[in-house]
Amino acid sequence: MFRKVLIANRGEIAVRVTQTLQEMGITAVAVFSDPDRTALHVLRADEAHALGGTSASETYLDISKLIAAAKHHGCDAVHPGYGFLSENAAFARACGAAGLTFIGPTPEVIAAMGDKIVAKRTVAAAGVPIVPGWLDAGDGDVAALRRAAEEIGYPVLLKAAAGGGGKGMRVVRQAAELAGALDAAAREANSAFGDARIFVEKYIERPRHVEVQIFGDTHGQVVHLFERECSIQRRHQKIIEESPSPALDPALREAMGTAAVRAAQAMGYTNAGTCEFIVAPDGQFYFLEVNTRLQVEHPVTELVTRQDLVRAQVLVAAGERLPFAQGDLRQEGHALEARVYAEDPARGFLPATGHVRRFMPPVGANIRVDAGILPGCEVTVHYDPLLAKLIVWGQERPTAIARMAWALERFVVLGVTTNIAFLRDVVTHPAFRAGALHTHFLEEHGLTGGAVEVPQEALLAAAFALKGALGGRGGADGPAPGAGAKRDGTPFGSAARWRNV
Amino acid sequence: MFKALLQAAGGPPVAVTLERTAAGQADTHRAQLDDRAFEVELQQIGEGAGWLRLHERIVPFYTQRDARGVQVWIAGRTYFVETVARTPQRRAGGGAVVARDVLTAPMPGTILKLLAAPGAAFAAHAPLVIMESMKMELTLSMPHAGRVEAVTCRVGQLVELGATLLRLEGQP
Repeated sequence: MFRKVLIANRGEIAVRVTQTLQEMGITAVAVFSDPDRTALHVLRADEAHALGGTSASETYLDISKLIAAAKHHGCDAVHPGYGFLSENAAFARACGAAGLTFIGPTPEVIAAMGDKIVAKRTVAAAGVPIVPGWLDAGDGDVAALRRAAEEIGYPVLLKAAAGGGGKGMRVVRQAAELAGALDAAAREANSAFGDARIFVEKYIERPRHVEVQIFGDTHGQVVHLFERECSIQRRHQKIIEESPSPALDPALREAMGTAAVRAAQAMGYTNAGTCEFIVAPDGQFYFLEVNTRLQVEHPVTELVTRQDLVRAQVLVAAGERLPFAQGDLRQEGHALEARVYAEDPARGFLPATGHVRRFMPPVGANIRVDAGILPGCEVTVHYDPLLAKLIVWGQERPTAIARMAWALERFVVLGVTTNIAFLRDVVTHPAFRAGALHTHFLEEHGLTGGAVEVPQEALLAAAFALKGALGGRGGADGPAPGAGAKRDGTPFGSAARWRNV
Repeated sequence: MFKALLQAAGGPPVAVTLERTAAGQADTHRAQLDDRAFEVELQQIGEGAGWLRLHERIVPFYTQRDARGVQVWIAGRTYFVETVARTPQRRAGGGAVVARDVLTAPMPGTILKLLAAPGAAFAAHAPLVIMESMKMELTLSMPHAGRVEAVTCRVGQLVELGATLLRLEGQP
């Protein structure tokens, strides 16, 4: 077993991985950028290494700095978390070359699955259904893409070959929009992945997004840990996930689980991964892609299966057998996850920045909070605006939904605008309760979290604060507005203040 | 006695009066919101936090003051409340904040593309500037038509929240 593991990440996932490593008696080594010097993931670690620099590219994406840090601290393995370098084959290879075990699939599998086109061809050859499309990504060849789009039939979806997270993705409803959309998609893909290749496929209206957790070990065992429904998305990014999916009956669940395992076997998959599918309104499912990492939403699977996926990742990476066989796995009760982001749903989900002044997650039975922040920390433009994940478990779906609504109503964040009230509007919506989910749920139901009646209590509390009845400075426990720029050297000066429009 | 005209974002201005009625353990106040008068009990719990008792109901709250006003948390929602003297400044949708005749950055970020040149006319909701923030592209437009008077940013520039990107001529 490993003695010391470097976590090449930040935020809530670094905190989450640290917990399991420490429970296993493994020393956890954090890395941090200049602004993250006082972040929670550093406080929780046993050892920490300053990467030097501010932007992601000069810190959490710098392969040579991360390898040097792992060598300097005498680590024997590296956990990449999700995002950053987690699906970067070159990083996995560099770890291997430096004598470090990469806790994830092999570089070959990451490279093959990272190319969404190769991934589709591989699973299609294993008999797993894929969305009808044109997989020859041109180098921005508009004419070729237009011919393909016309052959498939509009609407079509443009996707980045290196894609993920909705970046470089555009829906095109008619030929006239194609050139502009391709330009934007390619630019976004190039900026996000350094690869501008775009392919096109049939756009399926009102689909559900359902994914299956897969796990393989180096002894030839491959299992699935059931599905997660991830249909509630904004800007192609998931915000609410659950397991089981309200759309799957036992037969469809079995079929999708079997297809995912078959896909994993076809690619010689080891460690944790996720097979993403879309499920059309007629119940037909299509393979989308494999995410060769731990997912943001892995806790819902952990709560219904009572398994620790990070622990299983570490065991498998160390060459041990999977700690569970297919027959051991059960899906018990219902779990929901809501992602708390620093963003403003009323303004098109624009990311928000600022200092987090108060952060009090809800505490209670069957409530789990995976948080990456502390009060006083600054949310900057440099990294993902995910603050925390709220995960609840209930014996039945309605119980889990009621628990989620209860917990969201008691989640206190001040200083930065969040989507918490919006998340509660979603989970309490009758269509959500009915399980009628699809990826355009938010647009269809006009949910923006904005414009509610201001309760008289809000005006009274504000009046007491302004009156000076709530302490010397009425709760103004932070630095004066604008002082942040000088204090911590961020380039945004007074922009680092929160605002509520 | 506290008296002010308060306005929460999204709500109308409300005349608020607070007058303490009893000292001691319970801090009770006579409150008036426009023409509604009632009794409210305040229990402070640390700086900026506490609960209110209104008609027997306990309502926990948290507040955070800054130079402009107070951010208030009540039951999972936050409200921004300011003291107002005159008619508040008008804002419009479309992602960008409208302040007279400028397009400002709704987020700190990097300018990726300028789609409007000085002197060029633009239509309502036409893309004018594309910027990137937190690894996402934001397309900025105005809710009305007009003409670009001057471009006050450049491609690749890191801009602050509220930075003026374009000066415009047009009917706000």
